Amino acid sequence: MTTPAPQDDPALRRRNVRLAIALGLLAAVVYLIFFVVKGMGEG
Amino acid sequence: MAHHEHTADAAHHDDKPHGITRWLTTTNHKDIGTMYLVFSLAMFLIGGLFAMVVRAELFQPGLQFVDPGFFNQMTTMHALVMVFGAVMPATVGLANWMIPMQIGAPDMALPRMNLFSFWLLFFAFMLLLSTLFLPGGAPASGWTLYPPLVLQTGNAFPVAVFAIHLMGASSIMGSINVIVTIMNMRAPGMSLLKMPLFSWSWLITAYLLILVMPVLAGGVTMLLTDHFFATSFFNPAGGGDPVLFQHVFWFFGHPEVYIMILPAFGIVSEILQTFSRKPIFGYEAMVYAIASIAFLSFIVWAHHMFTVGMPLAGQMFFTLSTMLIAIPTGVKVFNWTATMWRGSITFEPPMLFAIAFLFLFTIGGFSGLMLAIAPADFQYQDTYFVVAHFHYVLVPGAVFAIMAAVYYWLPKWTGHMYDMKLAKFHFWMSTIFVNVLFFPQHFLGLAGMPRRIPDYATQFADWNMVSSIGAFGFGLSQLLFVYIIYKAAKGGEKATAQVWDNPPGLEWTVPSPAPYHTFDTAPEVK
Repeated sequence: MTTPAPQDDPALRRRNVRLAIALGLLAAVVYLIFFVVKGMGEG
Repeated sequence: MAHHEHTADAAHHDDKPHGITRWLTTTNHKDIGTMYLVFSLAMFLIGGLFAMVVRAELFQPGLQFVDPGFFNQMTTMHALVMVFGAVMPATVGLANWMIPMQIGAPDMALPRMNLFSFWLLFFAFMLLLSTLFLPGGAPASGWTLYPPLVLQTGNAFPVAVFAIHLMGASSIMGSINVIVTIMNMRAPGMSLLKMPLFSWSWLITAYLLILVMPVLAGGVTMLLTDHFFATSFFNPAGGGDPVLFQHVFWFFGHPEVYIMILPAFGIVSEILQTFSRKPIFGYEAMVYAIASIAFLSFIVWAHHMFTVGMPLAGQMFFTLSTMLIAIPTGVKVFNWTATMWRGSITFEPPMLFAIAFLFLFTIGGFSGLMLAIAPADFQYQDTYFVVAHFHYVLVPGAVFAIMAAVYYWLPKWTGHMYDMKLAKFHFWMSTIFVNVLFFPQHFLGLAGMPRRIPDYATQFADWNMVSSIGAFGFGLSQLLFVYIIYKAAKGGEKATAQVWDNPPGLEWTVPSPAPYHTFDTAPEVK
């Protein structure tokens, strides 16, 4: 069985990008919680 | 190793650009791993140079070499460069090289983002180092960047804040890559609980990074708006509170410590089992211990700031939650010891560094327990005892583990064995001098010497001189490390695929040096 590189397998690539976007959004939400909610609440 | 098929679609598999183009445009995980490792080695030397300035000034009481302002720039830049430029990128470099090989993946999941992460980090550090040449000099408030002191930084302030944002973005992208690679690209049969512990430690570290780097970004963004846009997040005159910054910083800062040490735990686990010739004792317990340490790292942050004044209940909570960390850490130390118990141990350089890690990191752990006790911490706060504590955790802890990893995997990377005698000499020099350097700092701290000062009372003179001699010896010893790596990269005795005596892990099933593209055919994992 050949292991597809992500660039050769559209389905794997889609799964990778989807998970990456989800994790990126998680990071953005943490930033917003600390900067906007926590910061503005106290500032 | 599978033979590459030259189809139109797969033609890029064999393309390997040469010269500078290769390094500027590569998306290969091994090339990017090498770039991270070389970058971190350069930063280790630059950060080390800053430390030498600090120790030279502290060799004797009085002011000899630098003015106090520049001294503060050196302590601050030393920390920022070592934490964000040396230790973290070194573990990212190791992750890039080893995770795909350990889990049987052909590359990282998002190769272009991988390259982007590296160059972001590179430019972030060019920016940060450039602040040394700006009017007012580099940041001088300590790596903790506490307001209001940090707001007195000159032109370097916005540059440093921008550099920190870039580093954070780079770390987050690197972490996303690690998580996606491990979750989506494991070879068939490689279940999560069959993964080598180094990959496990990095999976957990990557989640930590995603959850705390944005917190630091939020903190420094608020500093920036306080400085330039007249907000008052941390300014009491406008209704703000400087202690808020300390909470935000340490909510990032404590997990950051584990971001540096968890991959080290993974490395040491790999090495101890190879050179004890036994599988790791309590594999699943090791995984759960790493996860527990990561979880606990989120609920202990205020032990860094007991002296700002907090309710007794707060002091008790943070004392006890911090002490809880000793339980999973104890599990790890016990399991490492049990792994070696009755093993056929040999003492090659990676094993020497791993054993030194076990002893010396544990010293740092014990002084950490002392610092966790709130009433005792009131005495230790801001003294050299704290400096001794975190350097024991980070130098013979994280840095020794990284050196162990380099000595473990270098033959796999270069295809050559390195000079074992010289590497053992490097080990002994490093181990002796690191203790000469940092152990006396416990005495200085207990005697009341404050940290971050260029001059001190004469009763601290003797141990400071000893500590500085240790620093110079340790610094010089690292030139050996550079030479050993350079020599192995250039040539030497050919390494076999296994390199060591039957080491565990898929990375040892491919030839040395590892082919540019590993696992075009998925390995079988049983």
